[in-house]
Amino acid sequence: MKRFSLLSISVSNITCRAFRSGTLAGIVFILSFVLVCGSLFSACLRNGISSIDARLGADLLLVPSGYEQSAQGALLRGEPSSFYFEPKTVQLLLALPDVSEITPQLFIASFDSPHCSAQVQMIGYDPETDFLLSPWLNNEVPGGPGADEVIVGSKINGDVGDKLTFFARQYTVAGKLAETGMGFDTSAFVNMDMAQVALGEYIQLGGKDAPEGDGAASCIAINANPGTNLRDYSKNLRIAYSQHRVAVIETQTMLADLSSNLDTLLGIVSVLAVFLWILASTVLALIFAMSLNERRREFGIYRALGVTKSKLAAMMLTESALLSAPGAFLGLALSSVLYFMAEPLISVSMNLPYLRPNVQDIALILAGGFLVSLVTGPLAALFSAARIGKVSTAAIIKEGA
Amino acid sequence: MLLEVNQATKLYKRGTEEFKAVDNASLSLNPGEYAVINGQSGSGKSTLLAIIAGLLNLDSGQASFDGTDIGTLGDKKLSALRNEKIGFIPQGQCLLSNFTIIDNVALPGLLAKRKNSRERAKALLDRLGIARLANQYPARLSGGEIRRAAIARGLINEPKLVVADEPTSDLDPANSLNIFELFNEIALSGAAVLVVTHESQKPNGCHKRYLMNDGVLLLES
Ligand SMILES: Nc1ncnc2c1ncn2[C@@H]1O[C@H](COP(=O)(O)OP(=O)(O)OP(=O)(O)O)[C@@H](O)[C@H]1O
Ligand SMILES: [Mg+2]
Repeated sequence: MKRFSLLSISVSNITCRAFRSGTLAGIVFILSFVLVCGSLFSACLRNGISSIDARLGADLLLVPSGYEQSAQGALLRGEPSSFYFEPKTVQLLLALPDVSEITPQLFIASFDSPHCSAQVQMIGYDPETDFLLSPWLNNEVPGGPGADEVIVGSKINGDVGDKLTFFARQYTVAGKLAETGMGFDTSAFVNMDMAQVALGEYIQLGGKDAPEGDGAASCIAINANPGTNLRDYSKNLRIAYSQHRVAVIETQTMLADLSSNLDTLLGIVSVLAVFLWILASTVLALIFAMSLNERRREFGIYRALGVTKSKLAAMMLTESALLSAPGAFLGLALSSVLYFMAEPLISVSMNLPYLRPNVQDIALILAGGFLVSLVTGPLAALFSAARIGKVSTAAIIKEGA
Repeated sequence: MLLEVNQATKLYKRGTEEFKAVDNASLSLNPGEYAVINGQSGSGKSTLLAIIAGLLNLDSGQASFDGTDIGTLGDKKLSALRNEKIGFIPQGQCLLSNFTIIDNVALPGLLAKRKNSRERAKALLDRLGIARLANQYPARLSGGEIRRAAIARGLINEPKLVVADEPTSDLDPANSLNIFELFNEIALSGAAVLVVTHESQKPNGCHKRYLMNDGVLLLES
């Protein structure tokens, strides 16, 4: 020791109590690990929901009745599904009154066979009337995909210019989309004319449950005239078209259901995190209190040599910070590594939309988890640090007191 | 007068009952003066020393060092006083176990930001005959060696007052004699020395002896 410094003394105090130091660092490590993992996970789910909110810009979705769940599964999770309105039903629905925007979409699930390069949901949309996908797809390919062209979701293998085969036809990848956390990530978008051709090829190759003839659609998206009461409107729709087997999905209701599921889940995660934080703080505070008790004599000696109370308190806080830092850092490092390694697994097994936030948000989460873990040690030591002056004086008068 | 304690009283609580651990005690020391305090266990000797070192507040009376009433000083000034002017050698094993002997001895010097503290520590250890133990940890030392190291630490900042609490309690007669001889030398070099001891004989060179009994301090004539 060349100089008397808080740091050098604190380091020496830490290294000569390896077991206690290890325990303290270990607790902070667990805390940091769980906090960082939990926040990352929550942020990805929240981001998934807001991505859907931004992209489901329709008031109502009409789907064949009985396929409401399939439609949600296709939209949210990209579960390949095929369901259809007959062409004459489509004609009828497209003529609905009181709508400001209305557009058909056609879903075709590709096969797991040599006729298709990937198992995806093919989505046909009509760039003329579309108001859902165009604002977003047009960023990639202005005017939408042309003949034998396809725009692919982020998780589909294939880059711009590559050839992909669907139902024995070759398509050129005209654009690739950014990640959305929704079913769109595993979808391939074509224009409605191509989709009708593809549906014919689908039927030829043995695809089932599809109507013959041109003009089928899986889903019709509607924006009602401004000021329309959506509840009443969809209720009337259901009644008026009941014999045509039309089901109405109110997207806001669907999103609200989704959000409330998510809120429940995130609520549980937050409660667990807070509980863990309290538990960790309590255990740390107890360890510091025990350690203060055990070190009364040592602190008393420092007092006798002329170290101020506040310097001793600072010494204890420095020790706690020095112990927290590696624990918090290790927790941060391990949780990030594990998280990004396990992410594909998590996003697949989750039944909720899931999307990684941007880099700044991730950095913020990592920094936040690290900081909270880092200050937990000194915070837990605060009470004991404040008592040092009082406890140490008695200990210097009598040995072993 | 270097140290002046005037009618000092310190109350302690035992359960709900208060008692006077130090009862109206008065004591004074000039520079170069060497005094001892005798007294039974529990009579309040250590409490009195803690008061002198500014570690305890008085309930009544006053203690002054170099003309300053130490009761008026804040923790920072008191700590500095203790560090620079008072060599306090607490009762029992009072070395820091995670530092070597030389670091223990040099510590108050480093704390006071005095130059050459390690060199002076080395010289003190040499003078006390334990230079060869400089780089050992306290756990490896005998009781007498620990005591001498603690005394060396008390002298590192060349204090005006040296206060020692039973510095020979666990030592054999030869070693005890040695240590009292050392205190005599320190006093001769100009510092005031106050030693609490159970030795009934007045040590060589000692100027005055106090007796403490149930908190009451008497100067032996
Ligand atoms: N913090 C305290 N609270 C209450 N009583 C105390 C406290 N510290 C000491 N005492 C009591 O005050 C009395 C004086 O204690 P002190 O340690 O000063 O005695 P002492 O003369 O140094 O004894 P010894 O020779 O055994 O060291 C004792 O009866 C002791 O039990
Ligand atoms: Mg005592």
